[in-house]
Amino acid sequence: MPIAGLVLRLVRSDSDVAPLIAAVSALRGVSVGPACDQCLPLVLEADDQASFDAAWRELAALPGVAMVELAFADFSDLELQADYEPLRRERPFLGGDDGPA
Amino acid sequence: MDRREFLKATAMAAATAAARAAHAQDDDAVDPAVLARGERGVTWDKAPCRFCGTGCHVQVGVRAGRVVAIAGDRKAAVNRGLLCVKGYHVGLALYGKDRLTTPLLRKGDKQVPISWTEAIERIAERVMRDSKGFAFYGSGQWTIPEGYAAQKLMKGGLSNNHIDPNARLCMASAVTGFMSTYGVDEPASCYDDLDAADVVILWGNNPAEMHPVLFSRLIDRRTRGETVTLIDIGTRRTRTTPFAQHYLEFKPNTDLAIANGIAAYLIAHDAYDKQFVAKHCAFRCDVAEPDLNGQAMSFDDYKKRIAKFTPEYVAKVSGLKAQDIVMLAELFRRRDVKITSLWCMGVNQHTRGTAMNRLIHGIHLLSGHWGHEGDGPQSLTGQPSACGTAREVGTLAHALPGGGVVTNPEHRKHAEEVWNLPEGRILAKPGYHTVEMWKRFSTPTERGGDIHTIWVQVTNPGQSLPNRPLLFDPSRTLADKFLIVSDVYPTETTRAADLVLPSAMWVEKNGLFGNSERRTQQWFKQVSPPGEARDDCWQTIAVARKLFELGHPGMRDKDGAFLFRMLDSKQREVPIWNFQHYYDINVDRELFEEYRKFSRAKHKDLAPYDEYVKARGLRWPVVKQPDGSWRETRYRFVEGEDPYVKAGAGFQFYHSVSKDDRAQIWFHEDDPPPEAPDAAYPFWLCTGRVLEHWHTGSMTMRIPQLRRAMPQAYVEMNRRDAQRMGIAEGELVTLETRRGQLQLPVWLDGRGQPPEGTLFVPFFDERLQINLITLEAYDPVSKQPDYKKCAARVRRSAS
Repeated sequence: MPIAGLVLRLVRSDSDVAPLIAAVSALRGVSVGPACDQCLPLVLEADDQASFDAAWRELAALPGVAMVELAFADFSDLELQADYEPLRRERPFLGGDDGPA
Repeated sequence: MDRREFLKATAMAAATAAARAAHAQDDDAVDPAVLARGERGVTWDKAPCRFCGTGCHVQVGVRAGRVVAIAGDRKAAVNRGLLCVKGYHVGLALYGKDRLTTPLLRKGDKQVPISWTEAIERIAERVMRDSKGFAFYGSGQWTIPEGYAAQKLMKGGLSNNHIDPNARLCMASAVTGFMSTYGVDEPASCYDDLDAADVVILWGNNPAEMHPVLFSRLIDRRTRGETVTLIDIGTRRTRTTPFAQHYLEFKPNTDLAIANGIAAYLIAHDAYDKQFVAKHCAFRCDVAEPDLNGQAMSFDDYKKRIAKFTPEYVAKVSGLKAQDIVMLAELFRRRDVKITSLWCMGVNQHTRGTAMNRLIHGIHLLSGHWGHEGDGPQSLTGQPSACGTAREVGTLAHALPGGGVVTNPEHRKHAEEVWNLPEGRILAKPGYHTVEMWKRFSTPTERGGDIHTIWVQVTNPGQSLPNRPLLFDPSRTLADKFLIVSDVYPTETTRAADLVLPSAMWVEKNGLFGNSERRTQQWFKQVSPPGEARDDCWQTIAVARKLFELGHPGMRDKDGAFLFRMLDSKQREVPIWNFQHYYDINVDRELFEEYRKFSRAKHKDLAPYDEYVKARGLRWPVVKQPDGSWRETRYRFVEGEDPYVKAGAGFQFYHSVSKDDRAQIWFHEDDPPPEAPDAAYPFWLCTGRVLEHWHTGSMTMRIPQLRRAMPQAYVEMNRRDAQRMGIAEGELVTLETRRGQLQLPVWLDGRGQPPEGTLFVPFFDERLQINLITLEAYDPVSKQPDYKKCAARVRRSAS
């Protein structure tokens, strides 16, 4: 259950940012903080990492959002063990049984 | 409040604080670390991020001996509480399931566990057999003390200059550019420029992906209503391009012509800054065999030779429009705008990298857009301590700590004095640079391959060297060549190694880094490394001690004491070579305080270690004030900013190549590249990084979130080229150069958009290694290879 503190950098415009804030607030798992100039702090909470990534992309794609940046991440609940399996490639080696030393 | 609610409150406090800090409204903002003290068992401490050269600071949350949270450090001037996606995940880089945890020795086709004692003995045996054929290969990820210890072992202990970092592959041309322009390395300016520039010119640079936090400083200014004009001069559209007002796409290798075109226009229109040039600049050009300092030339000669670079000529050569050159030159003509140039690998990884670096400096000098906040050239680096370690400690084959060079007798004498060595211990001849070192390692001994052993720390040359089949692979079939690798995860290099040493990483050890703006940053060990993994610095010192015990004369100073002798507060020697006692004292502090003695020679003064403990980094020169405080320097060579500039001078380039306090404006022709597209290989091939992965991906590919976001390498291709060849999106194609071939999926209109006739492949994926087929040609002065340009062809794999 990832939790992150994010900052949205908003595109400056003369139009009211209230509709954008409403759109952000309507997203599942998002709690919006007080807007500061053209920055909007928020907390994003998701059930799993895939949902978190999707929500991040959704935020970044909202009209009026220039960038999404991160200020805090907690991953103490996550499975930290990566499942990366690099390619194993056989390599010829011509040293003796005890290595070339 | 339950734990989850508490975490949400902390996350909101951090985000709010970062938003306010970004707008300098942080006086009453809540520090996440302060707030989080309410959570039982979590301790917080500072550290610079482990990845790129930006130098962001994070707050690291640790519970029960494990990193469990990361927050942007709002007290850090570099990032003001914000982080990019890699910084966010930096804590997870420690916890891949395949961390190396025990030393491994190759026996036949297997690597089998051995003890640390045996591992250290093996290395010492190789050195004792023939210390001249031993080489050390490190990186800009070495901490400052790690690099310093390696440097001292090699140059001061073994009288052996065959030490070089992978920084040779990423910023060596920036080094030679600075040295030949100002007489001393490293940017004179700093990130403060990003907050003040009216125009930012990106020379082959993609900060939206490569230095996102710096880029966000620019975008933040726009969101606040400020006007910042971005000019993206590149060979392909990147994530940066949509933010730019001007995108100027040039043909690869024609950037020298563009820079010359700007200078020529300023001269032809009598629009250069005559006063600045007359008082502070001299002119220079190459000699027949290009070297670092070239030869002086007159202004009249410069004027005559640069005259051919008219806007029309440059347009014809580069593919830009003549009015683009005029637009750029007219900007530099203006005195009422502040112009910052940014560049990184696009300029440095270039067979004319030194020349291109010089020309960018030259435009700024010629136009007087130099030395004012927001107004000057600023090169960026890709590694967290490329500046602090590779450049300042000088772990390059020709260098000595603090900006010295082995060819200078005075510099050698000074190093021998600091290290208390007998006169003549340090050799005057530079060692082998990276490409030469690996070429000789991969050449049979009887055919001149006089490097028999290389010890690699904190880098992955099996994936990052160009033309790997030439430089890396042959050594693995030569029985008398021995490869030692210290690393944290299995990599292409460790798998090919004869001896593997498991290393501690980042906050598993003490450390100091130096970022791209001369900022030295310190952190303390916060968690323990897994298994038997140990600090790289300890590994170096343990080998030195074994050599001492075996009677190697170089491991003693001129009084007979061990090269790395360290005393406790009661003046008793601490056996730091025994890992059980390594943390009995702060070895980093001891090494750093010794290293500081070098820093004053080139006015790169460092403060005492404990000042860095208190700060989020300090930019050198850091000079003690009458009140006892330590003052950092934002701008070098500028009166009022740099304490070494004489009163009344305005600007003073006090390490001037021409010995007259002047900077050098260089002239360079726009020579052709060593390899260009032709009928057989009709495409340009460019390589580089992506946002999610750092360098060879050995850390970031083990972070599930980053790997999911960018799971594998690909080849970016122009849609029209693909349509013409009948290639579909995602189709597997065979990419071929004169060095070999590779199968990759095609990405059309993806993150980057190359023009017709151009391809791009990232190098993070060890399963699809583009450096199997890149070109090893390098810049004649910096010896930095060109990863950005070679000829290639593509065919459908099914055909």
